[in-house]
Amino acid sequence: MRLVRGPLYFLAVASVLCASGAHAETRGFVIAQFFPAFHSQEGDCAGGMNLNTGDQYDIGLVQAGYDEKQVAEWARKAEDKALITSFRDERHRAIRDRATINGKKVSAWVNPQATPDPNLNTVTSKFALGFDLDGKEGAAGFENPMTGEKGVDNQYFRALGCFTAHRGSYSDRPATWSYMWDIVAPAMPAWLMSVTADDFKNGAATVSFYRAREHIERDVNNNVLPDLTFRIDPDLRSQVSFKAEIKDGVVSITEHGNLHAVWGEMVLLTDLRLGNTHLRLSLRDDGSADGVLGGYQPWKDTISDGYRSAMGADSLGEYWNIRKLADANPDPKTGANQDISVAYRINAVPAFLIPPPQ
Amino acid sequence: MRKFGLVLGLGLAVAGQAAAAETSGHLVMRRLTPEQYENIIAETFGRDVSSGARFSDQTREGGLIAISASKTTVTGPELEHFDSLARTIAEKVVDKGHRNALVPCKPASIKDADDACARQFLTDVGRSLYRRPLTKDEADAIVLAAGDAARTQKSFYDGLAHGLAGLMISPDFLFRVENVKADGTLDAYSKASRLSFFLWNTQPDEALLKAAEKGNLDTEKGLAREVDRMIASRRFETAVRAFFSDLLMFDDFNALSKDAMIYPRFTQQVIKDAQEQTMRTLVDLLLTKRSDYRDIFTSRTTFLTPALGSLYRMPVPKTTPNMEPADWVEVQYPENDPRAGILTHASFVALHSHPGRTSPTLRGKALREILLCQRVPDPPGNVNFTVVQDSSNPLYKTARERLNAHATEAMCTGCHKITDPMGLALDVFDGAGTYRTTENGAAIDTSGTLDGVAFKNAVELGNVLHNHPGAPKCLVTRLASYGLGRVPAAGEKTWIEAMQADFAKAGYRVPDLFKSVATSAAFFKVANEK
Repeated sequence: MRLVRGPLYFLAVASVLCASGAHAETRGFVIAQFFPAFHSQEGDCAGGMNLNTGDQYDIGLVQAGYDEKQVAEWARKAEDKALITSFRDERHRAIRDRATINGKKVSAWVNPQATPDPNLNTVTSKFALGFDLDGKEGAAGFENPMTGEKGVDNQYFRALGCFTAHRGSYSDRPATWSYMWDIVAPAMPAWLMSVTADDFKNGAATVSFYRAREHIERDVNNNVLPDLTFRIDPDLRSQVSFKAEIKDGVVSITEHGNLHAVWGEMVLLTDLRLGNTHLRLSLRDDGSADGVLGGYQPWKDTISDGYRSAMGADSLGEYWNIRKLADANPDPKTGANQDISVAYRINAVPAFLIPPPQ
Repeated sequence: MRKFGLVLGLGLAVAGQAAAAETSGHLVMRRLTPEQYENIIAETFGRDVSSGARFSDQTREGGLIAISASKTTVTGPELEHFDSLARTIAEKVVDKGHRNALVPCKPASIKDADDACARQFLTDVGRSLYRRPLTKDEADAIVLAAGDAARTQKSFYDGLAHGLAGLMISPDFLFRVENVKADGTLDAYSKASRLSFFLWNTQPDEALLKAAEKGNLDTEKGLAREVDRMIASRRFETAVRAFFSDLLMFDDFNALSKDAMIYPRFTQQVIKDAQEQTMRTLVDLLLTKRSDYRDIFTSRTTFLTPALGSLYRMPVPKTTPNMEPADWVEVQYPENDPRAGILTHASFVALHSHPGRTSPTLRGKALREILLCQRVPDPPGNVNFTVVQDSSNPLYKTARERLNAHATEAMCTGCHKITDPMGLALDVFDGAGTYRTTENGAAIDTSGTLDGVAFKNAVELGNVLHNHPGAPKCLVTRLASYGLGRVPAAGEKTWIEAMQADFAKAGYRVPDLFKSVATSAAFFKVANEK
C-alpha cells in the first residue's frame, strides 16, 4: 500500500463511512481526554460535602449493626500504617459484607441494592454543563454556565457532585476519573472521532465515532501524541455516525440517535451507551477539538461491578444517588427509570484514521 | 615482515607513524568501534553472548570517527572496562549453557587443567578474535595462562575463561593491527582484515582467512573474487550502514536533546526511528535498487513509523499493504510534497538544530562539510549572537531576518554567505523536523543559491545538490578515508580522482564504489617508514 497524504487520505474514510458532499473533507481525531462534565462551585452542595471515605465507612458499619466501639477500633487500626489493611482484614470484610439477603451477609459491592440508602448529599446549584435532553426546563433542569441554555439535564452531576473525588469543571478532571483514565487509556483501544463537512465554519456535517485497533501514544510531556495513525476496528458495534451542523466552528449533533462504544478495558466504563446523544464540539485552529458529549445513559453502566470493586470509596452512596436521580426510560413493569442524564467532556487531538478493509 | 609494536598500559601508541610517503599514506592502527566489537563477539560466539559494548565518546576527524579511531588510545578506566567486558563474555562462553556448543573438546577432568583441550579452543577462537592465526609464542602463552588459572581455581572452565579474557584485552583484539611486507603492501591477513572491516564491519570469515592463507588476496583475480563474494553477502549492508552512520554523524544523536515544551513530539522513539528512516532509505536506494547515489538528495520514497508519522504529520499505519503488522511502512511523498531526499529527514534537520530552534547556519555548515567535503571555519570567539538567538524579537520574525541582522557584522558575513542560503531553504522544517510554512506568523522564504545555482525551496535544493559535481566526489573521498582510517595522502590524489571518474562513469552506484576501493592496489599500500 502506498500512502497518500492530505485530504485524499481522509476522503477514504469519508467515502466508506460518511454520507457527505462531493467536496467534503473528513478530519480525524483521537480522544485524548474523556471525563464527566461537572461544574463544581463553592456552595453548590447546600447540605455540605459528603464525608470522606473512611468516615462514610464508619457510618455504614454502624448502620449495618456493628458496635460503635468496634467501628472506632477498626478505624484506629486502619490509620495505623504498621498494620496491614488489606482487603482481607476484619474491617474490610465488614465493609464489604454490609449487604443482607435473606438474613445473610453478602458483598455490598456485588449487591448494592441490598444495602440501606445512606442518603448522601447531592448538588443543589442551578448550574451544570450538558444539554436540555427532554426539551423541558423542569424543576431538575440546570442552566449551562457556558451557553446560557436552560433546562440542562445532567443528573449524573447532581448525584456525584458532592463527593470530593468527583469535583471537577470544564477544564479540571474529577480526581477519580483522571486517575483511572490515565491508567487505562494507554492500554485500551483508542477511541476515535471524525467530522466530515464541506465547510468547517458553517454548514452540514457528519460526526462519527469508532474504536481503534491501536492504543494512544504519549509525547515527551505525557500528553496524547497528535497526528498518529489509527486503524478503525471493523467491529460495527463501535461505529456510529450522526448528522450534525457546524456554526462558527462549533459542531452540534442534530439527529440525536444512540451511541455505543465498546471500550472493554475501561474500568470506569466498560461500554459507553448513550441515547438521545448530543454533542457540542469546538474545532480549534491547532487541529484539536474539545467539547461536551451528553445523552441518557443506563444508570447501571455508570456504576458497574468493576467500578464498585475498584473504587470502593463511597460507592454505595454513589449507587443510591445515581439510582434515585435516574431520569429517563422508565421500566415498563416497575416504572423505575433505567437511564440517567449525563454529560462528558471530550478533548481530542488530530489523528489519521484508516478505514477497515472492505 | 614488520609488525608495529604496541605499548599497552594507560595509553597505546603506534610506533613510527611520522613518515609521509609521496604515493601512499602511513599505516594506522584503529581501535575497534563498539559495533565492530559487538559484531566480532556475535560472529565468534553467537548472538546470545551479547557483549553490550559501550565505549567512550569518540571525536571526529576529517569528517569521520573512522579516522579519529586511528588516534584513539585506551585510558586506564577504559582498560578496566574492556577487562570487565572480556571477563563477562568469557564466563558466558564457558558456562554450562554454552560450553557444549562453543568449546570443541571435553577436558580429561573439569577440575584440572587440560592443555590440549585448552589449546584447541584458544587457538581456534584466537584466530577469529585476532583475525589471523596465533603465533606459536602467543598460543603457548595463553595456554599456559589458562592452565595456571585452572590449577589455581581447580576448574578447567575457569582457566579457559581466564585465557579467553586474556585474548580479548589484548591490543591484537582491541585494535586493528596491520602488518606490512617489505614491498610496502599489507600482508595477506591484514588485507583480509582491512577488507572485512570495510565491507562487513566485522572480522574476516573463515573463507576469507583461507583465501589470505593461500595467497589469493595477492592476485587481482583472487581479490576481486573475494570482494564480489563479500559485496553479495547480506553483511555488506552492515558495512554500508556503518559508513553512512559515521558520515552523517549519527553518533551525535547520543547527546541530542530537544526542549520538551517546544518539541513535545520528539520522543526517544523518534530519535531512534529518525536514524533508521535514513538508513532504510539509503539501503533501499543504494543497495536494493542500486540507484544513483545522488538520488538520496531527491528521492520521494522513504520508510516511516507511526512515531515519525506523528512528527511529520503523515499517516503511517502499523500494517503492510496486505494488512500484516509492520513497524515500518514504505511511503511515497506526492509530487507537490515539501519533502524529498535525506536533507528533509529529521535525522538531518533535527540533528543540525539547536534544542529549541532551528539553525540555518548549522544545517548549511553540515551540508557543506558532510556532503560536499568543504571546510566551514568556526565562528570567531567574540561574536555577539544575541540577535540570532532571540527568536521572540518582533522586529525579526524569521530566521532569515535574524541572520540578516546578525550578518551586518563584517566578521560574520563571509561565513554566513556560504552556509545560510541552504540552511534557510530547510527552515520550513522546525528544530524537530516538523513541516511549517511560517515562523512567528511571517512566511518563511526558502529561496537561495548553492554555489551559484538558484533554488526556491528544500526540494529544489535537493535537486541542486544532486547535480552538484562536488557531492559524488566528496563521497568517494570520504569512503576511501573511511576504509583507510586516515585522510588520503597527497600522493593518493590520482587514485582518488580515478575512482571519482569511475564512479561517475558507472552511474554513481555505491556498491561499485565500495568494490572500486576494495580492489585497488592503493587501498593496501603503505608508505615506507623512515
